[in-house]
Amino acid sequence: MIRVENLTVAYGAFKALTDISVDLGRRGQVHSIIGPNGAGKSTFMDAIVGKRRPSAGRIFYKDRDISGDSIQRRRKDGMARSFQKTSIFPGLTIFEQLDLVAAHLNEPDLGAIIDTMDLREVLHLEAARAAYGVQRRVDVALGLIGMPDILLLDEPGAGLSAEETTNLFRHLRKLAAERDIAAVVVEHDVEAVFALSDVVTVLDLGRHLATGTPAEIRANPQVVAAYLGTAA
Amino acid sequence: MTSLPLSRRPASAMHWPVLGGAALAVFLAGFLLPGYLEGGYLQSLLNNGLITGILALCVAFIMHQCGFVLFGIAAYYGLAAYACAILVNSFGFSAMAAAAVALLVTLAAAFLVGAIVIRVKPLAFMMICLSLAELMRHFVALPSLRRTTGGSDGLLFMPEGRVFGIDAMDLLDTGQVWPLIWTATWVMAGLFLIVATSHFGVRLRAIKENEERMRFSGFDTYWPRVFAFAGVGLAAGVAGVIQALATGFASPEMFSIITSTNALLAAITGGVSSVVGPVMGGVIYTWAISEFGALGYSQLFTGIAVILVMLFIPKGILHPLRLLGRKGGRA
Repeated sequence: MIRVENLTVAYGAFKALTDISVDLGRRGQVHSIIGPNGAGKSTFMDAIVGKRRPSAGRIFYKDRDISGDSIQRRRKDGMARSFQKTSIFPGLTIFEQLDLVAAHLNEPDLGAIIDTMDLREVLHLEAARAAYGVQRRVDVALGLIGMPDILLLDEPGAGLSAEETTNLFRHLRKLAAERDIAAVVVEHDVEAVFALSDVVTVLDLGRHLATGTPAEIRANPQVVAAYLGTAA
Repeated sequence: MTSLPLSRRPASAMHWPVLGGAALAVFLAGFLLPGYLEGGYLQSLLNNGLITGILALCVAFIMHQCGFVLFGIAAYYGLAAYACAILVNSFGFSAMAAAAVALLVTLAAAFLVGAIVIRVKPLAFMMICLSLAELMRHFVALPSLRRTTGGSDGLLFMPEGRVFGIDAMDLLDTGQVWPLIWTATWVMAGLFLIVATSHFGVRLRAIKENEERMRFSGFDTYWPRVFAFAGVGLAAGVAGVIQALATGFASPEMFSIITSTNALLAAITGGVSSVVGPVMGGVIYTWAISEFGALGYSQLFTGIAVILVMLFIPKGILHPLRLLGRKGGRA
C-alpha cells in the first residue's frame, strides 16, 4: 500500500534517514519496524504521515505520490496514526473526542470501535482521569475511526508491561484481520514483534538493513550483528 | 460487527428542560426590574455590569475554547461604537442601520485580525491584541480626525429612528435601554452556550487540547479558531453598539487597556468555563469598582479582591456553588 523510494530525511547536516526504499502495509497484516535507538524509526514514521518532509526521495500511497500532501489529506485518504506518547484530548470526555473525529471522518460504526477497544464503560469519563491503559486504547481507537486503510502505530507498547504489549499486538492482529487494514508498527519489544508480526523491517543508523518474515529476520546475520546480538 | 447504540450524554445531564424553564422565568422576570429600580444609580450599575458581562463572555469564550488570553477585547467594543456614531453623524444613518453596518465592520475587522493573530504564539497573541486596541485609541484621538471622531473628547451623536421597536432617543434613558441590554446579554450568553456545546465548540477545545492530534485526525486547525475570534469580536461589537446607543457617545477610553482589563478580570472573577459566570462576574466587578471608588480606594481594593479571588477561588465565584450543588445532588 505504501512504497518508499530512496527516502532521505536530514536535519541540517545530519541525515536521520538515508536512501531508504521499502514496501509497507499489506491489508490484514502487521508490519513491524524495529531497530536500535537512533535507527530513525520515528523519523521514518513521521515522514510517511507527513510530519517530516523528505529531503530526497518519494513516498507513494496506493500508487500516488503523496510526498507533498498535508497531514490532513493523508488522514482523509485513509492513513491513520497513533503516537509514541499517548496523544489524546485530555480535557474532553472519551465519547466527545471519539464522536468528534467520527463525525468528521464519516465513521459508519463508532459503536463497533468502542466495543472493540473495550471503552463503553468509560465513555463519559474525562480522558485525563482515565487509567493509562484506557488512554492508550483511546489513542488507538482515534486512529481506527474513519475506516482507515492503514494504521501506523509508533511504539504502541510504550509504558505497558511485556504482557500488555503482547496483548495489544494480538488485538492489532485481530483488528487488522477484522477491518481488513494494514498495521505498521514501530516497536522496541522484539519478542512481541517476532511473535505477532507478519513482516519485519529493520533500520540501523538511518539505513534499511533488511525486510522479511520474523524467521528470516532472526536468521539474518547482519541484523543479528547490528541489533539482535545473541539474545534472538 | 454489531454495536450497541451510543448515548450522547450521561443520564445526569438530562436536566435541560428544568434548567431551561428556570432560565426562561429569570429572563422574563428581568424585564420587571426597571419598575423596581426606577432608573438611577442601581439601574445604571446593572446596565454597565451587563455590558462588561458581555465583554467578559467574549474573553471567557476565547480563553476556555481556544486557550488564548484576549487582552484587547476593547478594540472591537470601541470600533463598533465609533462606527455606529460616525455612521449616524457623518452619513446620516438611522440608529438601526448604523448599528447593523457597524457590526458588519466590526465582524470584518475581527476576521482580518483573527486571520493574523491566530497563527502566533499565545504571548504574541496577547500583546498584539492589546497593542491593536491601544493603537486604535490613539488613532481616534488624532487631532487631524477631530471632525469625524471627535478627537480626544470623544464623539457625541444623536441616534434617530427605532431600535427593535424602541425609539432611539429613549435608549438614552437607563431604564428604557434595559430591555435591550438584558435581551442582548441573554442572546449572547445563549449563543456562546450553543456554540460551546456544539461540535464546533468541541472541535475548538480539541484543537486547544492537542492541535497535532487534530491534524492527524484530518481536521483543519486554523479556520475554526479564526471564525471563533471573529465571532467573539462581533459579540464585543454588540456590547459597543449598545453602549454607544445608551449614552449617545463614543469615547477613546472605550479602546483603553482598562476596558480590556475589566473584561478579563470580570471573566476570571466569574469563571471562564460557563456563560453565567462571566455575566455575574461583570456585574459584581462593576459593582465592586463602584463601591471601592466611593471609598476612594478603587485600585487598591480591586487589586486585593482580584488577588483573593485568584488565590482562593481561581475557577471563579460560581465554582464553589457548583460543587455544593453536586454534593447536594449526590446526597
